[in-house]
Parts: sequence; structure tokens; C-alpha cells
Amino acid sequence: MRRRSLRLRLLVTFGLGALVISSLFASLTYIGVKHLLISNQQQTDLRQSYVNAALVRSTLYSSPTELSDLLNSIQKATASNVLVQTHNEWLARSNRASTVDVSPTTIKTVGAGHATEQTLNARGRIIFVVGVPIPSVETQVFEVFQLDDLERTLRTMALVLTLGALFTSIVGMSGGIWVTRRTVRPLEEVSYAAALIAEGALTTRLQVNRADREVQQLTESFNQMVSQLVLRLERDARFASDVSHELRSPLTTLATTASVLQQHRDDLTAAGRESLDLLVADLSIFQSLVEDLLEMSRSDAGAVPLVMENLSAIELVHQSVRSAARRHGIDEPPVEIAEGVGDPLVLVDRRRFERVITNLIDNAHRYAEGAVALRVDVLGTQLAVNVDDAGTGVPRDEHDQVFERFFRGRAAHDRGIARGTGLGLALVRDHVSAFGGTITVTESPEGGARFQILLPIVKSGPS
Amino acid sequence: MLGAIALAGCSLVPTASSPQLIGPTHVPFGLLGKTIPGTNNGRVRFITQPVYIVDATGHLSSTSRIVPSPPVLESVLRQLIIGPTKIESGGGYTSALPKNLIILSASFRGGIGYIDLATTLSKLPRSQEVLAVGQLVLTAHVVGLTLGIEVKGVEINVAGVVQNSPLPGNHEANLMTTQDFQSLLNS
Repeated sequence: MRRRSLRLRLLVTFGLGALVISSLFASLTYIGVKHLLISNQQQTDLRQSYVNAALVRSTLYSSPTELSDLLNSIQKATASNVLVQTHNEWLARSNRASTVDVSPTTIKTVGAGHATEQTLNARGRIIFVVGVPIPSVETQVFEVFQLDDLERTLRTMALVLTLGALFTSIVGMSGGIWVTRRTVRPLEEVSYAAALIAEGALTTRLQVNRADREVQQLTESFNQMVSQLVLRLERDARFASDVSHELRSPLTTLATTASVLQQHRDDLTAAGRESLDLLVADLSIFQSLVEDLLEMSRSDAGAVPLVMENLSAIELVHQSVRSAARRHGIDEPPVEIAEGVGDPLVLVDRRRFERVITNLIDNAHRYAEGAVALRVDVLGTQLAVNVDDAGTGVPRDEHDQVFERFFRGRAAHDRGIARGTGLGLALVRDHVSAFGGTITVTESPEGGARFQILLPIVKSGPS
Repeated sequence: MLGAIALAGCSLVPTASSPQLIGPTHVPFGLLGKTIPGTNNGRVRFITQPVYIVDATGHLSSTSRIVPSPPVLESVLRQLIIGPTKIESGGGYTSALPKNLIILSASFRGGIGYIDLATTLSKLPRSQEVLAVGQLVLTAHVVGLTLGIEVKGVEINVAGVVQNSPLPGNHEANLMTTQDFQSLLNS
């Protein structure tokens, strides 16, 4: 399962959290205030209805002819319409009152002696109708209140709360961005620095942020860890270099002695000759190992500086192939230059580049029936040097591992070869990386392994 | 969601499909009582009683007064003396009957309406007197109808003496019917 980014998760959490909380708050506020407003309005209207009904009764009893004037006065004072009915006939109503507002059900219920209230939508307007029977004057009083103001208030409140919730969400999300940036940035910096260090930039350090105690602690710890690591690496490299160096003299003596013994080989018994052959072979391996180890440890310790030069890539490849063939006593594999490559220049250390080619050819010779060809091509802005061998290829799961130090692949075991140093390809990768290039292993067109070196072209030469 | 509700046309105030009953105990002022508080078991029924007043064009026009049921002729006729309501006055309506007119009695006997006045109407200009008599006769007639009486005519007395009252077209009569005032009715 693909993991989501921490930044995104924090952002979504803050944003959604703010949205949920503000929505909840807005909803609860709306529900509470709405209930309160409606309840207050209806209670006020009800009380007013009772007072007005009592006034109607009083007016009817004392001066019934003034009833219409009373209803109009009520309408002017309270903006509510009052209708008075007796025995299913409208006795009087205020000027703007409409009998349509009072439903037949309300009329029937109030006529039966029950006081009622009802909020309804009448022709697109929200009205509150209160019906009060007055048996003592055999009339029913209906008062119709307009709730348009209340409706407008609720609508405005809903809109304001929604905008408030949205604003709060945006603020929450902004806060999330700010917090995420402060939280994740140090992690990203650590990650980036770690990647740089992994690529070999051991001088990389984090800038200590003194604003946040935790971040300061993290960066200081990280820097301290890297410093310790570098010290340890340098110490190890120096140790390996020293050991290798110290081993060279006795090894040379041993090799010289073996060489002398070789000259008197015929004087030895058959068992002695066999022992001598084994000794010479192992000495050769041992010498190679010590040389590789010495070169690698010096390189790690920075003891041998890179001598970078702009060199003709084609000439360099030819020269390296010749050197490798001479060194290993093998036939030079063919060098095939792709059409249109020209004579590009690459910035490399000549000695190390030759070592790269030598090691790759040696690797092909040792584990894969030799190199088929060295093919040079240009891929975009990079020079590709492909060393194709005649073997069966490197298993896909070993493509990355083959460049690890002391890694020995299945090919070595299958072929019963146990005399490689396990450092040749690791050294190749270190040198190519030092040139700013990369090396990968794929399959060659012939089915064997293809070790492809990609180097940045400094200058494209004429074709 | 709130925003959608606010922007949508639907109502935010909850409505009810049917009226809700209010408990009798919640209705104050004894409104649900069978009698009017402070009276001796008073219970009154009211009706809308048609009466006649004079419109802005000088014709007799029908309007109504809320009166206790059954209507009492004398009480209804007193409404004519009180005159038009504020709204009627605003519309140019008047009463031809003088404010100081006193009705001694008014009643129906044998299908005849008897109206006994304390003073004569003859002091009024003739045209106003005709309208005043018309108001009394037509109103008495409709009160009779409300009471279920077939009114054959109306007689106006002054202090118990039968009067000849003026009619439209320089006629006079002591027993008047609605037919006598048809020409004065607002069509």
C-alpha cells in the first residue's frame, strides 16, 4: 500500500478538523438560536393574541360597532391581521386581513371550542395563525402574524454561520499549512541531507534551527551523528589503507620468493609443484585484493586526489581496452563506436577510468566468457560506454547488489570461481560516481550482461 | 448544508400541516369561559345587521353594524344617529339623521314598524328630511327581515302623534314602505 505524504495528511487533518468543528459549532448554534427565536416569537404572538381576543370580547360587549376600528388599530399597532367569526360568518376583520390565511381545519377546530396555533406557508409567505374561541360572545378570533422577519433573520444567520464555518476552515487549513511546514520541513531537510550523505557528500550538515528546541535537538543530533560517522569511516578507511599498505611489502617478498621458486620448479616433486602453483595463484588473488582494498581505502579516505581532465572519450576507451588486455594477457575486445558519436570530451581521472574499463573487462573475462565488445554511444547529453559480455547475464535481483563491496553473485558460485576479490565492481561504481556518472547492469543484445557507464559529455566533438 | 438551506428557497421556519391544539389552561383572561367575566352569566351572540346611511352622492346605501342578536330595532336605529364609522366617513358617507335626535321607542307590531321620536324631522331641509326618513324606514325594514317579520310598513310618530313624512317626488305618507324610497337607493 502506498503511504500518503505526512504533509498532506497533516493538511487534510487540520482542514477537515477545522471544517468538522466549525460546522458542528455552526449547526449547533443555528439549531439552538433558531429554536429560541421561533419559540420566543410564537410565545410573544400567542400572548398578543390572547390580549387582542380579550379586547375583541370587551369591545363586542360594550360597543360592538367599534369592533372594526379596534381590529384596524390592532393591525396598525402590531402588523398582525385579526379576523372575527361568528357562527361560520365573518363578523369583522382588519383591513388587510384575508380569510384565505385561515384554513378550514383551523376554523372548524376553533369553532369546536379549541384554541389553536399553526405555522404555515400561505402563498409563499410564512404566517403564524392563532385561533381563540370566545364562547361568551359566540365568536372566534383569528390572528394572523407574518413571520417574514423571522424567516429573513434565520436565513441571514444561516448564511453568516456558513461563511463563518468556511472562514474557520480556511483559517484551520492555513494553520495546518503553517504547522505542517514547520513540522515537515526539518524532516525533509534531514531526509535530503541523508540522501546527499548516502551519495558520498560527507561534508553535508544541517543548519541548526534555534527557533524550535525539538528541531534544534534533531539537527544537532543529526550533525553529531554524521560527524561521528565520518570520523568512523575515515578511521576505518585509514585502517584498511594502513593494513593494505603494510601487507604490500611482505606480499611482494612472498611474490618474489614464489617467483624464485617458480624458476626452480623442475627441481620440485610433483606435490611440491602443485603446492607452488596453488601458492602462486593465491598470491596473485591476494595481491589483487590488497591493491583493490588499498585503492578503495585511499579513495574513501581522500588520500589520493582526483586528477580530472577533459579527455577524448574515444581515445580513452581505446587506450583503456589496450591497457586491460595487456594487463590480463587477453585479446582486445572490439570497440564499436556508434554512428554520429564524433569525438566527445569527458571530464575524468585517466588512471581511474582505465581502472574502470580494466575491471569491467576483467569481470567479463573472469565470470562470463569474456567481453563481446565495448560499444560507445551518445544518449542525449551523456556518453554511454557499454561493456557487453558473452555470459548468461546477471540475474535481475542482483542488478543492484553486484556493485556492493565483497558481493559475489550466483555466476561466481555456478562457475566454481571463488578467487575474485568482490571489490572490482564496487571500485568501478565508486570511480564512476566520482566522475559524476552512473553505472548500471542490464542485458546486452547478445543475451549476456551489459554494464553501461553514463558520463556527462563536457563538449561534443565533430563527427 | 446551512448555506445551501439559506440560499435555497425553502422555508427555514418549520411549518405544520394541521393546527396544534392549545391546552385550555394556557388560554388566559377566561377567554374560553362560557360567560363574560364580571357579568351575571352574560352570554351574547352578535350578528352583522345591515343598516342604511347616505353615500357621497346623496343616495341611500347599505352598510352593516355588529349588534347583539337578536337585534333590537331601537338599538339599531340609534346606530344611525351615531353616524358612520371612521372608515365610512373617510369614504364620504354620512347620516341624514341629526345627532341630537332622540328615539323614544321603536318596535314592530302586527307587521308595522313604529318609530316614536322625541322631536320632528321637519325642521331639517326637505332633501335631508327625505333621506333621514328613508334611513329609518329601510333600516327598520331590514331589521324586521333579520327578526323574521314581514314588515308591511313603517310609521313615524313624534311624541306619540303620527306624522306625515315626506317622500321623494314631493309626496307624503304616514305609512311608508321600502318601495317609496327605491329611487333614493344607490344602484
